[in-house]
Amino acid sequence: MKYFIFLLISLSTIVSGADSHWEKMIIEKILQSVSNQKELTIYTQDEEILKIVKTINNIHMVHSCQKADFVLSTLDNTSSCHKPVLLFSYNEYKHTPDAIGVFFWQKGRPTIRFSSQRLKNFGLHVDGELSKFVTAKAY
Amino acid sequence: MENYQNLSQPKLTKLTQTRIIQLFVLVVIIIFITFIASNEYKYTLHETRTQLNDKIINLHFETFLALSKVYEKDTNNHFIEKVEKEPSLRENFEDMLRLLRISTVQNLFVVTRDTDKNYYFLLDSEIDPQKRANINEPFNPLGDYWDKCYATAQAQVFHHHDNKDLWISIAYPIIENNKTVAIVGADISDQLDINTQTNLKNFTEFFFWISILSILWFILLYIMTLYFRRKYYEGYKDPLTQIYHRKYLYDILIKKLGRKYQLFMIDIDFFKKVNDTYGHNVGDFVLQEVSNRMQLLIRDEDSLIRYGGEEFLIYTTQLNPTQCIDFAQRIRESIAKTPVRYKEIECDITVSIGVNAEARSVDNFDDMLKKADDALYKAKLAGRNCVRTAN
Repeated sequence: MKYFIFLLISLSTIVSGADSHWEKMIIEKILQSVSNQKELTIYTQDEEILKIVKTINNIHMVHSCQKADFVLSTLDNTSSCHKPVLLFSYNEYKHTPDAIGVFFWQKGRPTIRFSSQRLKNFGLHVDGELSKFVTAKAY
Repeated sequence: MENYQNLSQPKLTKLTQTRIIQLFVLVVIIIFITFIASNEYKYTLHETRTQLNDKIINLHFETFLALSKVYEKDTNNHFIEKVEKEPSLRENFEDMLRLLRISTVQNLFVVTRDTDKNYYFLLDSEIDPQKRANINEPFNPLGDYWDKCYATAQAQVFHHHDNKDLWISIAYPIIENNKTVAIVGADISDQLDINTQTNLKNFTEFFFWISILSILWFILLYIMTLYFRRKYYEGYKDPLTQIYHRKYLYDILIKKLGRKYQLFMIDIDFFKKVNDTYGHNVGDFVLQEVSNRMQLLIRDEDSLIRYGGEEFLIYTTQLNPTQCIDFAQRIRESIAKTPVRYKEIECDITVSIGVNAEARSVDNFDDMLKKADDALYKAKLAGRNCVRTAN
């Protein structure tokens, strides 16, 4: 946990959300926490996210959300896939039933939340230091 | 000041070394002063920033205290419940926050903590919907100062070092029944710090260049002083022999006479005969040669003056009567020993020397000079090419 808090503080203090290198590390950490699989398939339509994610080891990008283990998106445009979604907008996260977690910037601070109910719906759980960010609240 | 052409090599080397040492000492002093001033400046800068921080923080503490009192009073100690359930009250409270959000405040909001110690926004002063945090939106408390604020019910201040966006964060508790129920959070705009630092950086650069220019100015001043000093003393030089003339004696030397000093009056024997026999060119060359030979024998602190015509005066200090006679004899011998050669002409030149070995500054200078002159007269009467003392 200390390591992750340090990572978050470093992220906010050093790059303030602008550097994709640190965002890559956070996304990698989130994916590792929610899945035990060594290799993951990811689907995203967002070019910026694609640039960040495709540099992560053991991540394979797929062109169909149906084939993906996780969907990464800034918008709720993947409702037909019924795959666990990691969003980057809190407003979208609130209204996306398949969104298991969200990572966004608020007041210059990187913020992470997981929904325990939605994780449960996909048979997932968050391990390790990120489990602090799992909440039961529906919004 | 000195005629470098007429100086012997050891004297010239010594003079150059003295100038270099003087310049070195000057530069060292300037660097030392600059170092002290720079340290003082850095200290003042640090103090100013600290005081500025403290003033900003204190200003916000006072504001947040007033705000929290209003919140506590208006909600009758049910702050969270009322803020969550009454949108109109929430809007009023957010309007209050906006009123207090002065230009130095980047973010001003109120957060609360649930039983799992997760933080959520309750109020946000932000108007821009893209940046605004809605009620119950999660808040990431970087650092443990928010928890400390909850635990101690005391305001906390956190400095975000080297952060691009955040500079100082303040957490101020809203208390109900001696328990923290929410926290007013404020991020002080880093723009204020950036502006301050930019201004201070400009001033630092200004200070740096002032220091450099001061050093250059002092060095230039030193060189100019040397130059004008040299020019000033050159005005007291005899153009023919390049030694001081009589005016130097009465303008400069007379003002810095030692408590005890010695005067040597030297006259070239039968100089008129040299002029009459060989012409003035040879006479001038004899004057130059004689002054050169005497200059080689005197010390740095002694003065050689062309008193007039073929008459010279040497001023010395710290010689006893025996040393005076020895010194005068050395001068006489150095001139008599080798004939002066000018082209094909060879002249045997001798000098007569009158010595006043016991001159004192309390006595009249002209009287002391007359004693040396009287001694010279005695030397002339004694057959020339000899030394005589005043007493």
